[in-house]
Amino acid sequence: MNFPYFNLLIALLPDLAVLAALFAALGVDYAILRYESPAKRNQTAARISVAGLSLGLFILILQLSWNLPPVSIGKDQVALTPLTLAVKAFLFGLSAIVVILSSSSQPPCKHVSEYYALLLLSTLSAGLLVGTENLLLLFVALETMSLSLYALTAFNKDSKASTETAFKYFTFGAVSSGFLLFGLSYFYGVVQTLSLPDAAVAISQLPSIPPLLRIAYLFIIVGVAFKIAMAPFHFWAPDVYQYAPTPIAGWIASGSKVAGFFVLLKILFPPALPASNQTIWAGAIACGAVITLFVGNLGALRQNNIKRLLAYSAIGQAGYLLTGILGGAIQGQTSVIFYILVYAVANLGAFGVINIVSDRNGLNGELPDVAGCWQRKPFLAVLLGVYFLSLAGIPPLAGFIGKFYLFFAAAAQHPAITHWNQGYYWLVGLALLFTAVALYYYLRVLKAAFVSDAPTDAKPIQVNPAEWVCLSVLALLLIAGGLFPEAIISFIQTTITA
Amino acid sequence: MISLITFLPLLAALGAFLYPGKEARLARIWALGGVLASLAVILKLATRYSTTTGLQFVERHHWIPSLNIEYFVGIDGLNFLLVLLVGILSVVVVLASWEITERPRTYFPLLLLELTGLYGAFTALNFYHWFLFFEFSLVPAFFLIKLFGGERRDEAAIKFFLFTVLGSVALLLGFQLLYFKLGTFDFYKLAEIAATGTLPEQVGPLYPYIFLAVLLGLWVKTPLVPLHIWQPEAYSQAPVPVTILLSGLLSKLGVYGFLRLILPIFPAAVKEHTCLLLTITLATILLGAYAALRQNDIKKMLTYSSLNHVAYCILGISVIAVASEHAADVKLHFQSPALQGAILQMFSHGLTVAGLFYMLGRLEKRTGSRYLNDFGGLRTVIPNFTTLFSVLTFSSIGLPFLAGFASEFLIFFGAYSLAPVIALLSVLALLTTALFLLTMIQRVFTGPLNEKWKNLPDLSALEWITVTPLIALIVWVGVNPGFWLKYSELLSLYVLSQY
Repeated sequence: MNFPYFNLLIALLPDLAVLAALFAALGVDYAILRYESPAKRNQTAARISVAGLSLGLFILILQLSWNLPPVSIGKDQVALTPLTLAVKAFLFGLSAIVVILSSSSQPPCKHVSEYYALLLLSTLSAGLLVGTENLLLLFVALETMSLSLYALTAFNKDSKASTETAFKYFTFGAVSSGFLLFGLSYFYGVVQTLSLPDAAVAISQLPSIPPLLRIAYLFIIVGVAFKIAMAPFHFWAPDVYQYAPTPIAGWIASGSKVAGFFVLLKILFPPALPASNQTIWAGAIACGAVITLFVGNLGALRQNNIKRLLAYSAIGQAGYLLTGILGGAIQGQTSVIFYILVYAVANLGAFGVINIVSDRNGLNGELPDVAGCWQRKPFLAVLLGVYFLSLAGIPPLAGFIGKFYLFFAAAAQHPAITHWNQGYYWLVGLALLFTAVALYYYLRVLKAAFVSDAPTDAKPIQVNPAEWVCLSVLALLLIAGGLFPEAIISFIQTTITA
Repeated sequence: MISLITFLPLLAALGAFLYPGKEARLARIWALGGVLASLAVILKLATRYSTTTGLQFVERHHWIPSLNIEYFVGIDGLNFLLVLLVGILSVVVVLASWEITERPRTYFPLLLLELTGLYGAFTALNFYHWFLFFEFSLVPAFFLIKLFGGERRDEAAIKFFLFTVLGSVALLLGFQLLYFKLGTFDFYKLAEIAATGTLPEQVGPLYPYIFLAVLLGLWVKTPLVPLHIWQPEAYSQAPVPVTILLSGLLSKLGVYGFLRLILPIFPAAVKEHTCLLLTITLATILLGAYAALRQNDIKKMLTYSSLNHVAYCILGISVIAVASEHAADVKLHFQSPALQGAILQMFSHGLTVAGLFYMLGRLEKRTGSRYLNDFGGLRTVIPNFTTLFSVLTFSSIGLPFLAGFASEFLIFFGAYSLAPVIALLSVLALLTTALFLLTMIQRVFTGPLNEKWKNLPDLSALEWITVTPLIALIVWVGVNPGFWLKYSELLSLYVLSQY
């Protein structure tokens, strides 16, 4: 059999562009700019990275507009559908914004090109992960992404906290990868194939669900729970969000979270698996959702560091997303994908603003840092308002319809409900109550930004044009997504059902 | 056209934010322009409004077809007067804020956003669409209280916000369930299903819970006892224009919810729970009146009085469901005045309370005080002010030929025939209202003059301009209520066909 190398080349062209940029950023830095000032090296590496990501994004858009039929190459190792292409493009775009937000700050240490190279590597693997239906590649891509993130977290070598955090992150991550790999191998043991579509067929032909499969799912969920900061596997998150370089924290909160949820969706909803199989894992997910909602939302209430607050809020948001997963293969998956995209945009924006307001002025992201933002830079305060209100789910921003749809999907699982305890209605009620709790801590940040007066010794906030553009694009996405969600929702839904 | 009404204030908000002019003096011009433009469109619609057709000026577009959500707005007898009220009071609110100097670049855009939310919520006919504006209207109100309120604004704002959000959560849960059972968010379609009488069966055993969830959301918003505890603080801590918004318009959102979400969609449940509804209404009426009696702070007094007056609307609404042995056509003879009175009461209470809070704000601006025992004998110093204030007070007491009388008479007429005990007990509140409002007039405007206030200026041109139209409308409603009642006649018959 002839392997379709040419198709593979076409399919992976965007990834190649990013890969080329990765090596170019390293190579140029090592070879040509060795003795230049860090600022210049920083600029060059950032430009190369943005160029590579933009090229990749451009090719992806071309691939999307060609309207190719879904491609599957090499036992589903590369499986491209319009949805995966679009999500990949989304990730590349986010990553480009992370690069731009990083580039204007002072580089954290003298290894500037490695910073961008690692960021590109994690983007690349997140992209691969979204576009594969093969268990092995899924695991490899997830690990590559995680390893780059561990290194990036520790990037600020002068900071003891940063190093300690990275070590925690790594140990936790390594253990969870063990769980994931264990789970995947049990899974393989049951279905005897690495390809997820084949696995779905194999499962549906089983006369009964073997206990081994339940254990496999449990282990996989535990493994992935770590990546998506689902309680009780969330302990790394607050530290990492607080002590990692802020743009990287933004990337961990957005890009890596998108990737993590895609792994979960891929394994929980392999194409064409009958809905009855959801009972295998639904209990575990529901329990996880409850604990996650409690831990995240209650934990966030008493935080005074915005980054730490966002970490707990991220845990809480994972709870909403897990609730949405219970909505089943079509509505549930669509709503989770929609919300995770919206959430990633809002979160990255929030970290972007913190980076500008706090880190640039040598502060640590404490709540008073944003105080008086409204007087110091009104437009930046408005942007911050858009991000946080979207996270809080206030209409007309995208976070509102996103949450509405998540809860809708979860509740719609049991339309014939006659008692409160049937279906996941109780969980939706709980999640809705926690959105009310969550409002309180989101509003605390907004109160600081809009109401409190700036400290007298506050340094001026400087924002450069590229950052204005990036942050405005993120805010516009949230507004447009809130007003006209139909285009995105129906796109996701049609590609999932196709 | 209706979208224009909703989005003109939004446009003005953008304008006021981006081009606030020198020392933000342009911001208030933007605000005035925005609200006048909306009012102009409303008046144009009003001239074309036909009292013989139901729903008019409909705009209907697909919005999120995947979830069966439409952009669906229209005006009928239930919301016509309310949209008009928003139009009128929005001008009052902007004029009342005319002299605000503290951060006008923040203040006016927030005010305009709030109005957008209100217009949107009063015209929406699809639950999602309605809920979106309902929730959205909270955010500017929260910031208006929090940024511009009195000493205890933090507490007031957060209480207001949390209470209302908890109510909304219940509302959302209820309507989501309703959607799963019936497949639509459309208020009119839901009412049609309810009119066939099969809605409780289609929904199954959860029907009463859904009803209670929806009720809870509106209970907080209106508010009714015991979920009103956010209200006194929010009203009294908010700056005067925002108090006008809250008492004149936001509370009407709750009452309107009863008319739009509860009466047509849950007739069976309303009949079953009439006792509960009447009890909490009566409690609110009495508590509002007696609490007002005890206040020394006039703003607090008006707040409690407003609690009491809004509850009359709910009285008119809930008595129509009382079972009675009258024949159907005789019963309608009592129900129709009660319901229409409730609708008119929203309008007249909005006009009256806006005027009262405005005048009180002006008095406080002149003297720096709003406590009963600080005043006395102001009649000799500011006679014109006294006259207008008294007219507004008399309307609130319910003196004939003023708006308050017209609507409260109708409500009590219906209530007395349908639920005599409740009506008689509520009369106590009417008497108490007269007592504390007259006491206020007496202690502020008559008696020996407090020497401190010898040199108070009488009404300014701006104050004349703001209050005269309100008084004119109050007299118009009082003298010729028939003109205003015919707007709601058709729709109230439609609603009553199920009771």
